[in-house]
Amino acid sequence: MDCETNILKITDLHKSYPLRKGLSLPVLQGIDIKIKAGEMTAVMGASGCGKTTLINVISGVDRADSGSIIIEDTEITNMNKSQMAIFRRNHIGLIFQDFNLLESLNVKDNILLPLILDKNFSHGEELLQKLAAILSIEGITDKYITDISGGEKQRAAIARALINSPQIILADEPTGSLDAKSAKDVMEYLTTINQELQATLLMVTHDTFAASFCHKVILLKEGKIASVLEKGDKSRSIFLEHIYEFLKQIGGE
Amino acid sequence: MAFLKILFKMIRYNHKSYKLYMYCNTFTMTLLFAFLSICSNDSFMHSYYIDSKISYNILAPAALICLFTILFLPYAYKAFLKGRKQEYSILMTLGMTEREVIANMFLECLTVSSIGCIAGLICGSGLAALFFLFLRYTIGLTTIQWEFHISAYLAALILYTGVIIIILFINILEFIKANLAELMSAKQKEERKKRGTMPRLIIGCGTLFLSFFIMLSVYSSGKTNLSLLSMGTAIIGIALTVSNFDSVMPKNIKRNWKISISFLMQHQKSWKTVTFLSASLFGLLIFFSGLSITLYSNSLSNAMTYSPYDLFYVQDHISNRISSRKLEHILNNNGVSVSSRKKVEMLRNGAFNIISAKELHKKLGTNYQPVEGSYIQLFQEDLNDGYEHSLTPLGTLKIPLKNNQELPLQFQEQKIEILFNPCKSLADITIIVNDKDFQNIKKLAQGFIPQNAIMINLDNWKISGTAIRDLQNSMAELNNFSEEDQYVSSLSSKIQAYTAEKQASEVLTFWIFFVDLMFFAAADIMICFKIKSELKEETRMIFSLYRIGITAKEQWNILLKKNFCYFLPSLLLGIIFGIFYNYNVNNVYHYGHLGWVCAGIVSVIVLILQILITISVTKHECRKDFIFD
Repeated sequence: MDCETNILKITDLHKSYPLRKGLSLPVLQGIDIKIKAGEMTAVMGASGCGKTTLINVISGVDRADSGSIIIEDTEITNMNKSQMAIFRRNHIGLIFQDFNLLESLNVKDNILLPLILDKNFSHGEELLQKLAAILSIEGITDKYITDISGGEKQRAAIARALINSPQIILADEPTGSLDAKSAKDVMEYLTTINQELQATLLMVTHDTFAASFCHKVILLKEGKIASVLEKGDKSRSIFLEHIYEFLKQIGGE
Repeated sequence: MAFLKILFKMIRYNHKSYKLYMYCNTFTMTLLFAFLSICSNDSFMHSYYIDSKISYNILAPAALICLFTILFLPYAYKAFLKGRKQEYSILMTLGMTEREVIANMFLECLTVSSIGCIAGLICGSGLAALFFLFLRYTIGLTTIQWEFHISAYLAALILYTGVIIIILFINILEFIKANLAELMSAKQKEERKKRGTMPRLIIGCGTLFLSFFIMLSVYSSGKTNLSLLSMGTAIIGIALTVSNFDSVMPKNIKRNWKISISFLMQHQKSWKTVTFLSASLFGLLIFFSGLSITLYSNSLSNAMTYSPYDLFYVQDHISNRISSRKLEHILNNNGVSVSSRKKVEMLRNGAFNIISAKELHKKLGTNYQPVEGSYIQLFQEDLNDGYEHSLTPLGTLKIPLKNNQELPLQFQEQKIEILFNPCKSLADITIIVNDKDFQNIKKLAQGFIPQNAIMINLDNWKISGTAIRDLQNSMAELNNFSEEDQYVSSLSSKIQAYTAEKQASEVLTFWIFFVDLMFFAAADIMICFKIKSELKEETRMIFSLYRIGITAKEQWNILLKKNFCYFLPSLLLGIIFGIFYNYNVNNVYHYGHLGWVCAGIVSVIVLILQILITISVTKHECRKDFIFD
């Protein structure tokens, strides 16, 4: 895919939640984001600034009040629930903080679920082997979710998000439930995937260390974009310091 | 095919919740069908075979079972769906469409419900057979016949299917209404939302007071049909009070209760639902079991009151003709002898028994004085028998005469006194007239049959059962009775009335205690499953406490107090409800004290059982806990 193509284009996105007595709480207020193919982008900000809502709206889990979201030339804000589900199945990979794996299935079945739902699992086994090798989970594919560690669960969730070769991976705090070592491993795996498979990634995170692995960091404040930091040619450690400094300036967490 | 394989794996993993939901359906259908099949049994419900006092006693428990079906099935499905919702939301984030999820919900619910339904019909048939055996051989209702009526199957299927379709429809609508983000956080949100508010709590308490007011003021003044309204209002009051109690939760709770209550408050919405449902079940349990004990003693004394003579029958020119000598001979052969015998002349058509006041004075020593051209209406009722009575006077009567004229009789007054036993040969209404009017009616009236009421007392009525049966058979033989004649001309005796009341009371007590046992089990099963569903989270919390230094004894205390909060508030509410209504319903007939004492005894027994169950559940919970093993 051409790296200059915008995989995700968000224009003037608004979202608010109704409160009592006819009032509403604005969560996203005119967000504009463009993400190119193969780019790793982090969205950061204080709790309640709208990070998870942004991911939910992009993935169609929640609905925007107004604005436009175009994922690879397809406008998704007008889709109904079923169209959105099918679009999500074919074009989006989702990773959650609490993994959202089905305890009733083993790792292999969990990873293959998107293909099974799409009734398109002819190359499933092959893809699974490839992803398992990249994510180092070959040895646990027959294990049940309750029998594996948090880091392994998140790697299984990443494999599941990649199994349908999505145009974009949306990750909500992918390292939020993990210890420091597992978090580092997960980010390294995500980087490997980004490099080897040219996967596009948008993740929301509190973790500056995790954000430093990305090409770009978007800082949200009170539902608006406060700033966008580009990694450019900086090394990861310098970019990490850069993010720290900037967060201090804008009073982020 | 692969998706079906995945579904099968998910079902296998979640088999416990599927089984539990199926058991709930089977259990409900078993009870429903068993009761409906007895209700539709012609030989049980027909007064020709079984005294209607006995057969009608099944109607209230059957109505309770129908109510139970309407309440319990939605609860069971909701509990089942709670676990499934999380899986559905994950599948939807992966691209499963809403239509596919709804189809799945539909398929799951219908499959499990159908299996539960079929299993329930089979188990229900078995339970109905046990009921039949109990009624026939333990209670002694030998005339009841074994039969399964198609209407029982239809009624059970219609109610069951109707409830299932409605709950499925409501839950699917709720599902469609919610967006995916809400579904993903449904569990936490459900517990957090709908916190109690003070205004709603005040409305709840007000509704409870209103229900008490209806019962104390209006009901006591004789409008007994308002008891259901009062109970309905009380149930709404309990629901509002329970769901808003947290608005007045004191902030400075004793420290040793604080942790236990914090466990509870994490799941406060489901705690409120379970507490309301189990309080309603406990309330009905205590009310009905107390009532059935009160009625048991009451109805035996009623049998004696309504049968003042040991043997009573009506003799006319064709029926029940038997000489005194023959009658005494039959009785003597069965070890019973006549101690007194009276005969009262009367006239009867299809509607009235007409008796002369002079004849009554002479034979029974009464002192009724109807003036010429008037009548006294006799109500043979005991106003304190625990039942409602309709004492509506008839107004002016016109007795048709043979010369196509009419003899008018004015209403003079009404008297309430039991002079005769209830007897099928007597008309429903008895009037007492002046002797002159009586003689005129006897001579000139059209359609009146002269007959004699024969009233006999025996030396020992308690052993007269066989003698009365022999006498009935001999009379049937002597008078060439057909089966119908025998039914209409049957003798009325104290022993039969006593036996019928005893059987009716035993049957009622049996039904009520059976239903109560089911209610008790259902209430405690609901609470136990709620505790079980929270076990994982609770273990995590206990482990956190363990890390800051909690001991095994302290863990026991915390869990015991938490479980008391689950098991006891609903029972205490039920006890207040049960005792209050038992006192008031019975107080109208002067059995109030007996009523509350009976309900109180049941309450103490249930309370002791509940405390034992709480301790046992806590022991089980502590055994399950990995920390102190």
